[in-house]
Amino acid sequence: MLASVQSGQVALSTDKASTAYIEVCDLTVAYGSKVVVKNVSFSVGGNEHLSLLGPSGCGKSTTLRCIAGLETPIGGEIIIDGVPVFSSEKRINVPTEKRNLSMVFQSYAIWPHMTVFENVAYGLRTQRVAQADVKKRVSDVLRMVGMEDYIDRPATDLSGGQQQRVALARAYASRPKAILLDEPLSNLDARLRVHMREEIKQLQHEFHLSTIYVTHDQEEAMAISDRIIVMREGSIEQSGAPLDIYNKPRSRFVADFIGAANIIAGTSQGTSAAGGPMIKSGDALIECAPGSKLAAPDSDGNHLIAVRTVYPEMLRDAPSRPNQWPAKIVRSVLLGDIVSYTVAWAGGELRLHSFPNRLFSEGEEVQIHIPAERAIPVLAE
Amino acid sequence: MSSIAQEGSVRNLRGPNRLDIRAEVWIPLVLMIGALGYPLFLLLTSAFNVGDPEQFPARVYGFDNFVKLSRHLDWIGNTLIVASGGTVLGITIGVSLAWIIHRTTMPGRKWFDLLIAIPYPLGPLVGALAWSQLGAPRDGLINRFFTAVTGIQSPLIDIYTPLGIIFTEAVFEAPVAVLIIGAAMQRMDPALEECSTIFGSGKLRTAWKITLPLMMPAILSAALFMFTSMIGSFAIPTMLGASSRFYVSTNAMYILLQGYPPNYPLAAALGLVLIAMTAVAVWLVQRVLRGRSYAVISGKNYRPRQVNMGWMTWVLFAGALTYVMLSLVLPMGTLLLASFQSSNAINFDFASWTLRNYKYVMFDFPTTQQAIVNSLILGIGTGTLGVVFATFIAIATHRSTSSGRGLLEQVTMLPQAFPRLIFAIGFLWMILTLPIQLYGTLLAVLLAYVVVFLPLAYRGMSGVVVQIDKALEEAARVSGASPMRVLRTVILPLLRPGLVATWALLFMVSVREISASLFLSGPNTQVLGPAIFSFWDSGGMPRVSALAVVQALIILIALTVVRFMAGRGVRV
Amino acid sequence: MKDRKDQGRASGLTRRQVVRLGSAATMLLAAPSLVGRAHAEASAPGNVDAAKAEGPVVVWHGDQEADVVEFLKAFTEKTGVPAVQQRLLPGQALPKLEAEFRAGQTSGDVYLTSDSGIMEDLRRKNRLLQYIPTQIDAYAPEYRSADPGYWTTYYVNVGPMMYDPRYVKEEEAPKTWLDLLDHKWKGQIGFQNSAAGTSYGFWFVMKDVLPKDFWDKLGANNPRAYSSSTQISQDIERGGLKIGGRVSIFQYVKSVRQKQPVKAVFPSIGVPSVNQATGIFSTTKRPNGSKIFNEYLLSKEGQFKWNEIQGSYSARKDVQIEHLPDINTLKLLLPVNFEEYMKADNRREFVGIWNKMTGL
Repeated sequence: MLASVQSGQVALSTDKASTAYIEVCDLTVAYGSKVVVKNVSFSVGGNEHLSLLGPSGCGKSTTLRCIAGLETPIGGEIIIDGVPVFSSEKRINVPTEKRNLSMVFQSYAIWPHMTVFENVAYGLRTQRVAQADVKKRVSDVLRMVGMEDYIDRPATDLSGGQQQRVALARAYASRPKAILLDEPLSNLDARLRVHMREEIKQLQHEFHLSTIYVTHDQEEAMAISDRIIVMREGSIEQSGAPLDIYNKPRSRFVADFIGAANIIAGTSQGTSAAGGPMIKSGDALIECAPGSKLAAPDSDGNHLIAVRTVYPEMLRDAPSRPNQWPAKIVRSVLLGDIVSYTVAWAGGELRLHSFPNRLFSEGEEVQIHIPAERAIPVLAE
Repeated sequence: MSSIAQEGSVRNLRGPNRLDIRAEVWIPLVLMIGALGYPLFLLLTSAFNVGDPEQFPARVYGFDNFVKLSRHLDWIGNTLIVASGGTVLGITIGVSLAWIIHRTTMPGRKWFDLLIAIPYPLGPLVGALAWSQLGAPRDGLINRFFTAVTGIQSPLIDIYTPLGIIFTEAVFEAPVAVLIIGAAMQRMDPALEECSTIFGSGKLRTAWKITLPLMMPAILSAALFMFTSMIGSFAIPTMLGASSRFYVSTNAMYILLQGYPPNYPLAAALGLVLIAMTAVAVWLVQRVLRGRSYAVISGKNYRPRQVNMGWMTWVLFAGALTYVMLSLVLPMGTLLLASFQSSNAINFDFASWTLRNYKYVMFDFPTTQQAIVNSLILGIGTGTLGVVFATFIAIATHRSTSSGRGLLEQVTMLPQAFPRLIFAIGFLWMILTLPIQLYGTLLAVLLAYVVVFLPLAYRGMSGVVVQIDKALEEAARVSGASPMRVLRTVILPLLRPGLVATWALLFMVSVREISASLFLSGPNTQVLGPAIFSFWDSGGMPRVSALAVVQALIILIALTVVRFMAGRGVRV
Repeated sequence: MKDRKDQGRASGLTRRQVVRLGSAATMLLAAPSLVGRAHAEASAPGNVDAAKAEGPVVVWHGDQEADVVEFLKAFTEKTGVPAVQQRLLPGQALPKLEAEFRAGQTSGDVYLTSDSGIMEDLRRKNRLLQYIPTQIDAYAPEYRSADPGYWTTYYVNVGPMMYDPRYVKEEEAPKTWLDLLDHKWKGQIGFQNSAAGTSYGFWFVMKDVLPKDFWDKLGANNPRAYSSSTQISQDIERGGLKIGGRVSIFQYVKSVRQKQPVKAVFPSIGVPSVNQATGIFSTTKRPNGSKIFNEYLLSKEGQFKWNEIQGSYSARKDVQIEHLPDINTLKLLLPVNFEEYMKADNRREFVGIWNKMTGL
């Protein structure tokens, strides 16, 4: 597992890659006077899948395009395979066509005036690969994505999903070491999306590719990434493995963006017996994760903690213990695979997600228990 | 369920084979077919007329006229030379300029975009007039300058040659290509080019393998427009070619029809040949485009990707500047110079310069006064009527569920296939045979203009109508608005920028027009184009130049007002 | 318009024919007085007040617009009757006339044309109003319609050659028509195109004077066709054309007035000329105004005014214009056989020859 990264520090990756294949240092991008990417630094190793995740306008696509050379930053450095391709200090800016990357665009960018074969072979032709090899490689890669039957069809014959697969095939055909994907699945329907992201993951493993993947869909990012960087308004909010980010969100934003969380505000109440901070919210005294520290308070002077909705337990009867309170079920909604409960408790209102195998009815009185290690202090802003 | 009810419900279903042509389609269809078909019919009957040439409709038919025509193949050949050469040169200029303005980071592009739009509405008449004074072998300004600087006596250029004609045609038609191709460039997904660079292609290779092929439909479309325009072009070949024994079909027809007795059948036969050539060109391009109409040109408007061309940027700048010089600065400058002269030769003796010529054409000479007023009236009329019809037809073809919409669109674009000069002749004959007293009225010219420019108007309005999301109208319907109310409160307001831009375009092209009005205007209906031409025939250079400058000013004012109001360019 | 052909005739005299003969005889007997009365009517001058009420007189012509406008100003000043002009070549004028005659009303009133053949044709079709100006006797018979008052020559369009001695040395310049065949003038001779009435006039009179193969040989010298005489004159001035094969005399005069050193050549074998004729349409809406116009145009004062403005020869002997060589020293060749002049076949032959010659 990789160590999580705070802004400003360069990550060292271990295990999966020897050196970072792509390094981004202090990247700053501005359009006119508007700064859209602020001093962003991170790296991706070979055979690592990194996702840039965030809402629209957070700068993730811009960052990706800078790596590709399609946009020009005003400051920072980008190093690919040890070679600086951009450096504002040293005035280096290697053009896109020399950076040796592959990219899949959100709109697929399949050239309508060519056949599927010509689309996929395009990069190979630029590399002056021999004709016989071209044919073989194109067929192979199309077979991989299940599009070998369409090899001679004009590109205008393809549906959205088919275009996407051809775009993938094209990206892999040139045997890159790194591949950039800019929201490649956002135009597909849900079912196809799930299927395609598994294919992408599969291909990444097979080809040991360094992958940077931009998306706004947190479920997608969680499913396929080795590491996620959550971005907001041009800066990195948090970086880490999916489970780490899930379990230990650094800020309220991350806690809200990934998965579902309850954000509880309370006043500091010292330290618990287990060695974690305590806060009082409403009438509830909550013990937080041992070893953690309360983060800076918000503008009202309250400290915030995040409790994921899946972690609180609902019990019909249970012996009294810390972090356990009586509660009454205010609302219960069946969402299909999960049930969403809203309960009224000493600290106000809490949302819980549970499975339909055990159903509680509205108005029922229960006990809720929040495991202390699941109450994570988070930054307010 | 009773069988009666079943029958009733079946009867209500419209199967795909059932023809249902509604009023919004068949009324304009009938009008257009009449306005085009009848003149064509008259041209046909005259072309095959081997009896008395002045009889309408003819009584004796035969192929004699076409046989006679075969002895004058050079007319047709020259026409093709001018049209093809002009199109090739014009498209080259157009593609380059469109590329420079929309796709590179060259400084000053917005200015060039503005300046390049000007030569087209100024028109070929103004252009030919100016270039005849710039490029005349003996006393053309350019040659005089060349001789003064280098001491070489023989001229640098001779505008009175086929090459000169091709050059002038291309220069003044190129802006249309820039417009059409530029609009397509703005609608292209930049990812298509970015992707190419990702996969290793440099700027030039990307331009060659990706951009150019994707632009082909727009390029072909622009080329067709230019080609058909140049086939029917009259002013430039007449003013620059006749004195060098170079005749194209249009000025040959003019001479055939001006003499006494006028040779209607031969002129009509010639006209038919031209129409046939144009129709073939239209058909060819449609066939080529059918397989290749890419979804590239979607309703979406992208921010086009701009390429930094590095040091080449200055080369491009020089190129764009050269075009502006050749198409705008030099010609207008020359006309201005000439308009201040007191004699036919341009001299730089400031003391002899005068404003008399302007006073003469604007205040003393009733013909030109009338021409200016009439042209303004025509411009406003053509703009208004053209926009109204085009919008109606555009809405009918894109929103109606009636059958025959495709046919209506085809017929609306059909006037493109008729070189305007020839159509005007047929139209004139039609008017002569109609029971209503239309001959010699401004209304007749107006109607001809509306028919001739309808394709242009339709192109503009159709592009705007297509862009309106149907959901906007559907939302209004759901809220209870009747179709008329939807039209008034949703569609028309959304169309407004397109309406203004199209109106302005129609205004400008009608003010600059000469081919369509040459035979239709006459006593009491003087119009600028033919007036300038007739003035060139009989007046002196200074006065003609002054009149041309006045026409140019009118157009420039119109352009400025429109740019100010609309903000965006016309999408054709 | 074709004349209606008669249907078949029966032999012998039918009652109808007797009646016809009878009325014809009566008319013949009355003819002199009828003619006399017609003559008197035709001489009746236009009424000025009525003319003013009719509205501006519409004058159709093929001359220099600027000149006509100036003349009309003088006319209005002198008579108080307003007038407007419209420049029309025959190709535009004739279809319009056809349509209007059929409708019974013309928008034009006075017609000035360089093609006296057209005038004669109109006269024969009863489309001209007869008006005999008071000073008709100043016009020799060759300068007016045989039955006077239908059309009269308002100027004689004499057609010399022209060149500019700055570009063509006087010694080398052509002295007569046959000199034009010299190859040193290849591509440097200018004429008006076949649509011009004066071109037809040139060919019509010269074809009997010059050798039959003249036109082909001239064609081998690649003469250029211009749309107007003004264009020829301008090109000569600018050095683009060496010889004006035939220019209208007023071009010469105008150039001289502008201090250009041009020279005109009037070959002794004959100088082709045409009657520029003025006539009034029979269906004119403004008979009074038209009569007053012609009266002025053909008067000594009017003739002087017009020819002074334009720089041309009047048909009247008592009007002399500066810079014009004495008309008595010139041998003018005018079309006299109007029957031939009007013949469509001749015109078609001319168009063929002339177009071929000028490369059309």
